[in-house]
Amino acid sequence: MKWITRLAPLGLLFTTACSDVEAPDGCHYHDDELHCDDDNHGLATTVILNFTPSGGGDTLSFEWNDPENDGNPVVDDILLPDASDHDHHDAQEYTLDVEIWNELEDPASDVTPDIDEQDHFHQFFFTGSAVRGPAVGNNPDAIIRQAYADEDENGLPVGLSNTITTVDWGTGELTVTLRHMPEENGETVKTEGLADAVADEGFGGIGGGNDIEVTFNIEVE
Amino acid sequence: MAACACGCACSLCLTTPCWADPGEDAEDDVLEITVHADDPDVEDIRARTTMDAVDLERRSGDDLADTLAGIAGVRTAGGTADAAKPIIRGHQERRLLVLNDGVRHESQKWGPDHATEVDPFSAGQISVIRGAAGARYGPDAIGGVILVQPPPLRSEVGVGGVTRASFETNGRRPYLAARVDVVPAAAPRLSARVSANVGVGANRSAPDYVLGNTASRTYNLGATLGYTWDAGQVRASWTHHAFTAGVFYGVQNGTPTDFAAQLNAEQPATADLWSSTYDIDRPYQDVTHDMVLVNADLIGEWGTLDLTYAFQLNHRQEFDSVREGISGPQYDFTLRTHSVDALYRHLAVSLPFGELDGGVGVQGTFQENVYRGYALLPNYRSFGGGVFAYERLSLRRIDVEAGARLDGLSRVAFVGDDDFHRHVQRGTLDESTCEVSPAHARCPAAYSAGSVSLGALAHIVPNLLDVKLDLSRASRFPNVDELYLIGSAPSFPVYALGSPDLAVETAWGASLTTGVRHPWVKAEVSAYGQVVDDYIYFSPDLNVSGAPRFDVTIRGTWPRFTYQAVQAMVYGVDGTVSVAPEQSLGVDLRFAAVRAQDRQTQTHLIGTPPDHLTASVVGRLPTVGVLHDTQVRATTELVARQTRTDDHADFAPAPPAYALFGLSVETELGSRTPVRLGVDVHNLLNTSYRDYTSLLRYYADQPGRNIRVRVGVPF
Repeated sequence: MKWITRLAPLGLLFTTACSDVEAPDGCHYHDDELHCDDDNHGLATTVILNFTPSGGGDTLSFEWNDPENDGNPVVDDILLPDASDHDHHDAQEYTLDVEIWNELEDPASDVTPDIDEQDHFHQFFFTGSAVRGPAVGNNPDAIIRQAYADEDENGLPVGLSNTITTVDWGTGELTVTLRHMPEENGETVKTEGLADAVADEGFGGIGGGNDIEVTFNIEVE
Repeated sequence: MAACACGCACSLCLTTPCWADPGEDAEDDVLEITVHADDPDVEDIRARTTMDAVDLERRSGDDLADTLAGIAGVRTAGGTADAAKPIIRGHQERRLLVLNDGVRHESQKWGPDHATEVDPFSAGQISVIRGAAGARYGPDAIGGVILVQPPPLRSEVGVGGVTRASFETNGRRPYLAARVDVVPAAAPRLSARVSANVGVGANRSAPDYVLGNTASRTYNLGATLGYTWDAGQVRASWTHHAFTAGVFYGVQNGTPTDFAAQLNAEQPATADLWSSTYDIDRPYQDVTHDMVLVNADLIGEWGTLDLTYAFQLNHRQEFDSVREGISGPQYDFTLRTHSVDALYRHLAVSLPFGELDGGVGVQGTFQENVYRGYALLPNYRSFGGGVFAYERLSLRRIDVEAGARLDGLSRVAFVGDDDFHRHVQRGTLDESTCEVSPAHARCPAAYSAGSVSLGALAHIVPNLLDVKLDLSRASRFPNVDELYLIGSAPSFPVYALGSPDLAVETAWGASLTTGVRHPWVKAEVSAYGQVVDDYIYFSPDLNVSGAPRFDVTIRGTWPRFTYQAVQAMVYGVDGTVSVAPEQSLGVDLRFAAVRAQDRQTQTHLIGTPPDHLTASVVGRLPTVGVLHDTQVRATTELVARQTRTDDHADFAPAPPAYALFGLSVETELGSRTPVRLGVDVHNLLNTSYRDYTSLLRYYADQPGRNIRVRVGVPF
């Protein structure tokens, strides 16, 4: 193995002499080594769920955050108070607004306006053991009920804004999925009834691909 | 003795242009007993099949892998784009070597959707050597070698060439190709060639639905200039290959649960939206491959010397499905490769008991890979080199060939700081093995390997029965993706991780081939076996209790797959049998069966082609007027279900067995420069099926019936 290592510098000389390479866009040579900028445009690293009580009160924010995109996320547990001041559950309604950020870019970029602008290609789905709603159907163990509170130019739900109503005390999981559904052969992929299709067949039953799928632990108290 | 380069050592000519007169040595005593000297497939110590110009014309418009699919032991690994990769004796392209005009084809061949960027029309013939051939051709030649050889340059003053055209109904794809050779009267030692071809395809169709976004565009250009004199030839050439292809819409970024759901669906979720169109949408790939080559063949009383310098530029861009407003590719690879090859062949040495041929060679490669895009692969630079020697002793009825080769590779990977920290955090990369700077980590690695081969060809009954035995040791160095890959794989519901401490793969093998040449039976049948130490295998990462590990990303939770070294064993049989090959009615059979497993766990390696048999009945019709060499062929292709799988390592059960029927008719028109016409029907009954070695099987059916009309006009 040694002989090849000794010859290696000759190779580098040869490479430099023969290739006279130009660094591609976004890259440069420094000390004969190539450096390229990371291209993270269009990615997302952070999901923020903002729950605002309908009757007024402080907004409760919870994050799913993987700023290095290294598969080691920091995930807040969601804790939602109901409207009760005694030993029975009383339903509390919240407005749920979703924010998406890309913290790989410097400064971090807010991706939410991009999704809002192209809402006819996007839809959020709310599923999991804690949820009753369009993408789950009737779930007797649910502790929250989700309903879409916005729509795109075609009158179809988006899910950047939602109404969440507590239905019982307890714990469970809330999964937030953002489906990206660009046109195929010039035909619209985002159509009516997608949440019902997810409830019936899962995400394999609808078109497009996942931009985001994150899961939170949630408790209603 | 000048003709020896092409006469008594004909197998060598297949990697270099055979420009010398092959006839002079016919009076040589030794050559008189060297039967079949005009057939390199017979004379090669290894199992070998060559497709000539007529064979290649039958596959007009196909890519390299599909062109070779008619050879026994060769299968294709289809992609989710209109692209395929060859498989030889169960080995995928990583373990194959493609020599294009004698130069190692260098590309991003790790990708399952990355077709080999070699234009079959550039070839005058293509040979496939089945089995390891590392001692002669270098690293990676574990499963086999594909030799793509351009036609010899024109030697007579004048103009000549060929045009080919075809049209395929599935995908409505026209294909046009032309090659022109010129030798000017004013400079008869000069010879020039230009060639070009273009193919455009709309979306392919499965029997029950259109395969959305499988349209493609391919074009190739080439130019060659040669100068020949008494003592040699120099030649310079340039080829350009461009390929743009959509990636099937049905490939979804979904979690394992969603993946399983779409597997069970009758058809892809949005199949009703897809139509036959030539438009290519995101996601798609856009690839160019350029090669500049300068070659000198020198011949003298001292022997022959073949010198080649080549530069290859492979540029691959992949455009993912992204939000509007984001332009440009999400994956951008630029691979530059310089290579130098030198081969010296000594004059044949006449011994009292036979003749000795042989030579020595040296090869050097410098490579630089630049990647920009989402987290996936590092940049790298490498320097590789090899020296080899071989000798062939030709006795009265037996030839014995021995070869040895030593290769080394020194490579430095520049792992981006984000990826480096991801690896370190997971424990997949030892921090101390790299020099860390603010921008990246510089991770060096060096490998070396020795290859040897010992083979014999016995003419048991001259011109009737031959037996070949080849014993070999061959190696493959780990690729950069196998060492440092990190990220969600675009096609599979997994999180993929490289393993930086992988060692060199080493294959020990034996191959026994029997050839029969009789007026009523022509056959070649091989049996082979290999053990591969440190076989690099992409499989699930399990924890100490045997449970799979998972990675959580913002796109979901994924099972972790890593490249792991296993001790593998590969064995099988393949061959062709032609009954009545020259008679008016004959039968052709082609078959292969291969087994691959982990020797320690006895589990089967996924991706191994299932058993298959192709049977054809061929009718050769008499000449009628100007129509001659007319033949009608009815074909049945039987492919078994792959029952030897590993459910833990695969993402879906193997598809059922299938049978496809085909029909073709071809004829030649005229005598001096005959026009060849043909019609081929593939999947005549429009059968719905899925192919175990195709990526598409995870998402949709294979394309249905296809009718190809073709014409070839030499001039």
